[in-house]
Amino acid sequence: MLDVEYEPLTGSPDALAGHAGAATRTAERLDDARGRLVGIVRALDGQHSQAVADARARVGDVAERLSLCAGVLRATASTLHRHADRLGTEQVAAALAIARRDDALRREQHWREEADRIRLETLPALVPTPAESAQQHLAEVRVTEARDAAHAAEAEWRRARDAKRTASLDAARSIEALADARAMGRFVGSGESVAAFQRGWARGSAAAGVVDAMRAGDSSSASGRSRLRRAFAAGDAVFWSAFWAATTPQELYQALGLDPLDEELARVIGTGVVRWSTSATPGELAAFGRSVVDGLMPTGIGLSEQSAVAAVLLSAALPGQVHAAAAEALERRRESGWNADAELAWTAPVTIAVANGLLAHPQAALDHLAPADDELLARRARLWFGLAPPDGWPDAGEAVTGALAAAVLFGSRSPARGDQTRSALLVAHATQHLPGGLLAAPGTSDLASARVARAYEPYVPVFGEAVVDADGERAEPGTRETERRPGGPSASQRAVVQPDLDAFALVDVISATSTSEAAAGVWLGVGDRYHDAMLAAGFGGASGGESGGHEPLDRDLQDLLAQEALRDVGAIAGALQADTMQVARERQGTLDGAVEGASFLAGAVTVHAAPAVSIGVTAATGLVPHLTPDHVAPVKETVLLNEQSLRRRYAEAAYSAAIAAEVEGGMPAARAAERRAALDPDSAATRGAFRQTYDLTADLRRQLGDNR
Amino acid sequence: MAQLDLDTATLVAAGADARAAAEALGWHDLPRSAALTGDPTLADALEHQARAWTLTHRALEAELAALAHALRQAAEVFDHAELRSADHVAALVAGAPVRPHGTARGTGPLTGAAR
Repeated sequence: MLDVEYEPLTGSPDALAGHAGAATRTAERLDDARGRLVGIVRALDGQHSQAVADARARVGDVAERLSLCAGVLRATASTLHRHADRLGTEQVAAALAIARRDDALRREQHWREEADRIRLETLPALVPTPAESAQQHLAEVRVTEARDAAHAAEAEWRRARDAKRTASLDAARSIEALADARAMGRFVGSGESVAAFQRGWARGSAAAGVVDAMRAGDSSSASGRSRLRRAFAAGDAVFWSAFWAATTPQELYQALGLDPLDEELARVIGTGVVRWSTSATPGELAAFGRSVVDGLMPTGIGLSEQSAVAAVLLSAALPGQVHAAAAEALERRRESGWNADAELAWTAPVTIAVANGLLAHPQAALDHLAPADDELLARRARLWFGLAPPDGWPDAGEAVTGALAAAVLFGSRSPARGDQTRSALLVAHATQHLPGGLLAAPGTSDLASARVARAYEPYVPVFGEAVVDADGERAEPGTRETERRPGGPSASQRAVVQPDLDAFALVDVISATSTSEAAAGVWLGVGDRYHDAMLAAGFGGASGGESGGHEPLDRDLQDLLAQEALRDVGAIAGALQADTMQVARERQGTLDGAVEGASFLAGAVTVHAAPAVSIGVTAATGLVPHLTPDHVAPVKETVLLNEQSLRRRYAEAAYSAAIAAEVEGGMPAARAAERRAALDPDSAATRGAFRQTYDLTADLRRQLGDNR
Repeated sequence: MAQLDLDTATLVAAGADARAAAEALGWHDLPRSAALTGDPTLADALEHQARAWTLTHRALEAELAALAHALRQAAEVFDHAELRSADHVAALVAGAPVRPHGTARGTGPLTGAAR
């Protein structure tokens, strides 16, 4: 503070008014220029050529920028004028107070001297006369009156100083609102006024002040929350820009304390963050995502409550940069945490919110979970799929598995070889971590299981090979490029790059995600779609797959392809939980429709802000019936019975397609059946191909299931 | 032939206004000392605002100066009847390289070339 007690208040209203006048004149110049330019733009209306369009765009752009700068200058001038007036008023008040004080001090001095003089004069007489006593008393009264007047003047000076200070802070806030040139450019560019921007900014700053007061204990939690609820509900993008410019997520956690968020407050905070994101730069988005996680307390009482607020701040409707940055910060916490189980449990709402965000942004999911750095990818696969709270994720693992599925479906469908490689490597690593991590925790839901199954769908072509080649040693995660021959067995594959999968872990994944008929049905659907696509590639599209336009292969290649497909689906079928199979087969058709294609992911994510407690309750959950988890009952007869029915289920399609193709070519049906006997579901070749993997994975499943 | 509802005077005035605006922005300054404002917080806010807008002001100043030049050139075109096509004038205003073509007339009065 520059002001010295009972000295004139500092500052120059005249100079401020002068600057305000200059700013106004500059604004007028800019307005004049803008008016002329708008006239030129209008003159160009009706002309149609590239040159005219370019000229109109250039002149129009300059006119808009002139308008913005003029508006800001005018707002600045208005603030300076207002402040100059208030400063002048308070300076005058202070000057008057100083003059009154000086006068009072002079009078006090005068009457004090007068009282001393009377006392000295009456001293020799020992007893003053009544007149002398009256004079003495009067002088002392005058001294007191003068001192009171001086005190009053001093109080008036302090009032003027405080009023000046308040005016200065008001002006500063108003000016600060004009300093975010980029935000203002966007706001004014959308047709709003600079004054409206200032008003929104002032409201956002005031809400930040409420947060400060709540942290300092100056405002009760209930009244502070009530004020925030009202302010947040009316907040626009400018409001939120001002709010987050003045408040960190950590400060918001501290202000909100230990009471759970009510639904309305959670809603307006979540909506507000999304509004703020519309005017934030990528750098600001990432910084926000980091600060939401970094602002959480390290551990202890209150972390769960802060995590619930953080989850609200990480709405899935935000851009993916927010979730990617938050995910990184979350990983740092996990790697440096002293109590992994408590950390996972207490920050579970944040994990779920981040994963739901990645699920909503498949490219961000791939980029984050499967970075180009293999070592980093391996570490992230462990942190996301190898860990879970002791009691499982509150959302039954649906968000984390959703992020995996989103990343893999995006990467495996990408035409870029690099994306495919990262996606395949992610699945290879996740396969090793899921059985002992996320899938080992209790309570994995059918939807989570379904999402895992869908993440493996692009890689069914290597299932058979992984199982047949398993030699007892754990296979290291890796990738391989498959040959894509026109019309050949691999033509149906979208993903050219496939993972090197560990058969033991793969069987464990399938087994753990098929513990109900609903979940097993999704795996059957995965096998069906793959098998249909392979037949379409081999038999010319009769099965309606993506390769429907191809010429049919020759008979030998068709036989080879059918057997390869059987081997791959046999690996899935054998790994499924046996006693769920019967019902799974019956219901599989219904379930496939529910989880088919892009709608499976898009419909499953909660994209609007919601209280942390409701995150994870997704639309898709309702599509998968709740069913009692299976209790493993590895009865050999059941397995064999299932083998026969499943083999026929798959093999009959190829056999029928082959015979139909022969008949269409003019061959009698009986002859065709004989000619394509190799594809007969009960032939030795077909049985051998299917059982080559079915028996192995059925055995592996029983062995691993018994160990659990 | 495309015709423009423009005249030399309009283009000259627009160019002059653009140049005046550029100069005004160049001169423009805000009080940034606490001795003037009477408060360091307000002085800081003004300093912050000035810094935040400097780039925008400088860029606009340069663009206004360039546009003023382009408008003056466009005004000069109106003194040469054989160059008065809408495309030609527009190209000059847009700042693109111009290859004279066409002889369209401006519809407004010709009040003389810009100087």
